[in-house]
Amino acid sequence: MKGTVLDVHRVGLRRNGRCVLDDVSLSIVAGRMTGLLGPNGAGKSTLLRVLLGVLRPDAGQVLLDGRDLSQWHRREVAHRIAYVPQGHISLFPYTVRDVVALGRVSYTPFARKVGAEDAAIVADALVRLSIGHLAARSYTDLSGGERQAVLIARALAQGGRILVLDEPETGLDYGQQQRLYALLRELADDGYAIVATTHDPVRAAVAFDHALLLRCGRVMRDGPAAQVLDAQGIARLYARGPDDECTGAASPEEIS
Amino acid sequence: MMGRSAGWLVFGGLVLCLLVSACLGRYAIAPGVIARFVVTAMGGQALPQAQYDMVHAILMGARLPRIGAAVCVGAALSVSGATYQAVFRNPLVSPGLLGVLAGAGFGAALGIVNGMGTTGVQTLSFAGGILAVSFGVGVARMFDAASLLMLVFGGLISSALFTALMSMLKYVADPQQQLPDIVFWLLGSLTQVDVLRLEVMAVPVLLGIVVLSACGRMLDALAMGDEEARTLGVPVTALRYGTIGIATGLSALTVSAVGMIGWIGLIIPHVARLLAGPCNARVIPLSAGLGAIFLLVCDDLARCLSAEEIPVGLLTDLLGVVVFISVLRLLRRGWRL
Amino acid sequence: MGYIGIIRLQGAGMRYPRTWGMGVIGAMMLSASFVMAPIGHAAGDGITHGVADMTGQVQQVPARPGHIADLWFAHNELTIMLGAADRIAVTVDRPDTRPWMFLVAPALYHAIGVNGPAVNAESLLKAGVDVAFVPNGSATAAALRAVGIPVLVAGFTDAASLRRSLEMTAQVIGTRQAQEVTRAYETLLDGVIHDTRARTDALAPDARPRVVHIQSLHPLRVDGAHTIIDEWLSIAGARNAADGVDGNMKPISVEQLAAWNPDVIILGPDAGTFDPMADGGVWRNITAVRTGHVIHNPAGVFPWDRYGSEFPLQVAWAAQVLHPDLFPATDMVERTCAFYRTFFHYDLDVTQARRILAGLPPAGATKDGGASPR
Repeated sequence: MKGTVLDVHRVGLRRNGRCVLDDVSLSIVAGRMTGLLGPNGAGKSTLLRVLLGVLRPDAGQVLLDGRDLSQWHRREVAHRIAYVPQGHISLFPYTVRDVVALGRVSYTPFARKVGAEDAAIVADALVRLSIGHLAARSYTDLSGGERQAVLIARALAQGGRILVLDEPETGLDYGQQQRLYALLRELADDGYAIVATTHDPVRAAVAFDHALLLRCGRVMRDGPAAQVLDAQGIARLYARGPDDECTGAASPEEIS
Repeated sequence: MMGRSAGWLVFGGLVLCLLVSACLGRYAIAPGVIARFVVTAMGGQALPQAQYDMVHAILMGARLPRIGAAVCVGAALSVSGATYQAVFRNPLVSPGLLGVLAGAGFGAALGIVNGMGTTGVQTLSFAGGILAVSFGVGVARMFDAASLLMLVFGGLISSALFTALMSMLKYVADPQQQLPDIVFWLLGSLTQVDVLRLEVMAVPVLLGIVVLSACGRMLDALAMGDEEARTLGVPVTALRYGTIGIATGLSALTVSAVGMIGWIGLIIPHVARLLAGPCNARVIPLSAGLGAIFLLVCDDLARCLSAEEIPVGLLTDLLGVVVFISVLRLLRRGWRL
Repeated sequence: MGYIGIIRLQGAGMRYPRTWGMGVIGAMMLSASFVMAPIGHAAGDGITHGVADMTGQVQQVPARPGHIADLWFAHNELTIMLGAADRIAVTVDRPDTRPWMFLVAPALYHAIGVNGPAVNAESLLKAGVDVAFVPNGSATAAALRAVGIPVLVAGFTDAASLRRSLEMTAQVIGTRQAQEVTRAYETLLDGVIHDTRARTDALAPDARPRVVHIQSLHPLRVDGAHTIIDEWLSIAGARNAADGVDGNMKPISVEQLAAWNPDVIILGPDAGTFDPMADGGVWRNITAVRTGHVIHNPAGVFPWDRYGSEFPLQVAWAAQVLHPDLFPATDMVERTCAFYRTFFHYDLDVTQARRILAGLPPAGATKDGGASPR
C-alpha cells in the first residue's frame, strides 16, 4: 500500500485553558518510519492519542483513508491502527498467547474461545516476533523486552497496517533496541506505516525515515530524519527555554 | 491449570452436589424412598399415596426451593464478583464495592420497620441496592466520569450513607419484633425463598450470567487498561457501565431475597482463576458453577447441622475464610504480590 | 404467705426438682430481703433501703419512688398490677404494640415513651426518675447508675423468677397495696399451678400431646427448652416437640417442623398470617394442621405466652385447650374478667374478654409492629 494513510491536518487541543497542541499537521505514509520527538511536555503523547482516535481534537481533523477519524466506528479503527503502549503491569496472569489473542477481540468480541482462524493469526504473529517459545508463559513473568515483543505481536495480530508505538526503546538494553529497530524496519519495508515517539534523537536520525519535532505543542521542524535531526536541530529542540515559554505553568506534566 | 476439563469437573461436581443435597434434610428420607418416589412420579406405583404426598411436599416444597435458591444466589454472587474484579482490575474487590449490599440492607430494614410482608421487604431491598449504586455512580460522575478511582470513592460514600441510614432504622425499630427480624435478615438465610420467588430470580440470573460470560473477552481487554482497550476496539465506557449494571442487578436481586451473604463474590472468582486461568470468558461461567456448589454446601450445613437453623451468611463467612487461607498460597504464584 | 406457696410447691417439687430448688432459693432470698428491708438511713426524705435485684446485687432505693423508669417490656405489667401505673414516668411499651395495656392503665399515656432499653441517662434525670427497672443483660445499667439512678435488674425467664421479680418490685414500690397484691397473686399462681398439676402430672407421656409453639411465621421461629413457654407447656400436660432447640425465638426450617410432626401448633400473637397451603404443601401434611389443631395464643395486657403476669391465665387456658376432658369446668372468659377486675382494676365485658382470648387488639384499634390483623 503506498501513499498517505493518516493525515493530520492543523490539529489543536486545549486542556485546562492551556494549549497542548497548536496547529499540528503531519502525514503518516505507508512504508515509512516516522518519529515524534520533543522535550517532556511538548505534547507527544497527546498527539499519539489523537492519532489513535482516543482523543478528539478541538481544532482541525485527522483523516484515516480520507475520512474523518471521528466518523469511524471504534472497531473499524482497531482494524486499521494498532497501538503498542509503553508496557504495563497486569495483575492477572494472562499467558502470552492470551495477550496476543486480544488483538483479535474487535473481530470476535463475543467468542468464548479463540477460533481456528484467529488462532492461526496469533501463531503467525508469535513466530514473526520469534517468541513462539513463550506462548504458554505467564505475561507477568516476562522481562521488559519480552513483554514488549508480546505487545508488538498483539498489534500485528490486530490486522492493521498502521503501528503506533509509545517510546518503544524504554527499558531495553542496547542489543534489544537494535533488534527492535531492525524489526520495525522490516515491517516498514513490508508496507506498514510506523509512528513512534522516542527520546533518542541520535538513533532516531539513523533509524527513522521521517521526523517531527514538537515543542510546546507546535511543530518545530518536519522532514527527513537525517536532515531534521542534525546537531543543531537537536540542540535547539532540547534547549532550555524561559520557564513560561509554553504559556502556562512552569514545568507542565504531559497531559494524559 | 486444568483449563478445558475444569468446566466439566465443576459441572459434574454441581450435579453431584444437587443430588446429595436433595437427599439431605432434618426430615429423614432414605435414598431408597427417594428413588421409589421418582419412580412413582413417573407413573409407577412404588409408594403409597400418603407417603408419596409427604415426600413430594418435603422435596418440592421444602428442599427444592432452597436448593434452587442456593444455586441461583451462589452463581449470581460469584459472577458479580468476577465481573467487578475484572472491571476494576483488582482481585480484591467484591460486589459490595459500589454500595449494593448496604443499599439492599437499608431497603430491607425499611420494609421491616414499616411492617411489610416478605414480598414488600424483598422489593424494597432490591430497590435500595439499585438506588445505592446509582447514587455512588452519580457522585463519581459529578467529579470525574472516566476515573475508576472516583467510582470506588462513590461506592465508599454510598456504602457509608446507606449503612448509616440502616443503623438509624435499626435504632427506631421495635426491639421486640422488628429488630430481631432485621438482624436475622442481615445474617443471611435461605428460609424465605419459595418457588414463586425462585422463578422470579432464576430467569434474570441465568440471562445475566450468559450475557456477562459473552462479554468475557472484552473484559480481558478492559483489564489491560482503558486506553489499550479502546485501541483494541472495545467500547470501554459502554462495557464498563453495562457490565457493572448487570452485575449489580444480579447482586441486588439475590441479596434482596436471601439477605447478606458475603465472601462468595470475593473468593470464588479466585478459585475459578486457579482452575482455568484468568480469561474471563472461562472464569465467569466457572465462577457461577463454583459459587453454586459453595453456597449449596453451606446451606446444606445450615439446615442440617442442628435443629435450629444456622444463618447461612455465618457459614459462608467462616468457610470462605478457610477456603481463602488455604488457597492464598497457590494464588500468590500468579500475581505480582 | 410465701411460705404456704413454698410448701405447696414442695409437694409438686418432688417431680420437678428444678422448680422446687428455685422455690427454696426464692424463699431464702425473700426472707433475706424481708430481713434487710428495715436497714437504711433514718430520718427525712432521704430514706433509702436496700433491695436485692434479680442478680442478687443490693441497690439502695428511695422509700416511695415517685418516678419509675420501666425499661423492660414485660415489667410494666407488674408495675401496673401493683397499683403504681401512675408513677411510671418513662416506659418502653407503646400504645400501638400494647393496646390493652394502655386501655387498662391510661396513666401510661402521661409517661415518656422511649424506644428500647438503651436510654439517655440525662433525659431520665430530667424526667425526675428515681428508680429504673431494666432487663437481664442491659447495657444501660452502668450509665444510669453513674448518674445516681438506682437500677434494678428485673428479668425473669420462668414462673419462679417471675415471683421473685414481682416481690422485688413490690418492695421497691413500698405500699401496703403492693404487698397485698403480691400475696394475692402468688396465692392464685400457686393455686393454678397446683390444681393443674394435680390433674396433668398423672398423665402418661403418650397422653401428653406434642406441641410446638411458633413465635413467628416469617421467618419461622419457635421456642425450645428452658423457656417460660416450655414451663407452661409442661404444667398444662404437654410435651415441647421442639427437640434440640434451646431458648427463645430460634429460627428453624419448615422441614424440621415436618420432622417433629407436632400434634398441636400454638401460634404466638405476633406470629403473622398462617397459610396452610404454604411451602408446597408441607404444612398440610403435619399432624397438627391435618387434624385442625392450630391454635392462636391469647394476648392481653401482655402476650400471655411470654413473660407476662397473666401467666396463671395462660396455664389455665393451655390446660383446658390441650386437655378439655380433664378441665371441663374452666370458663376462660369468666377467669379473664375476674383476673382483670382483681389485678388491673378494670371491668372487661364479655366481648373484650373474647377478643383477648383470640389474641386480638381492642375493637377499633389495629396492632402494628409486625402482626397483620386477622
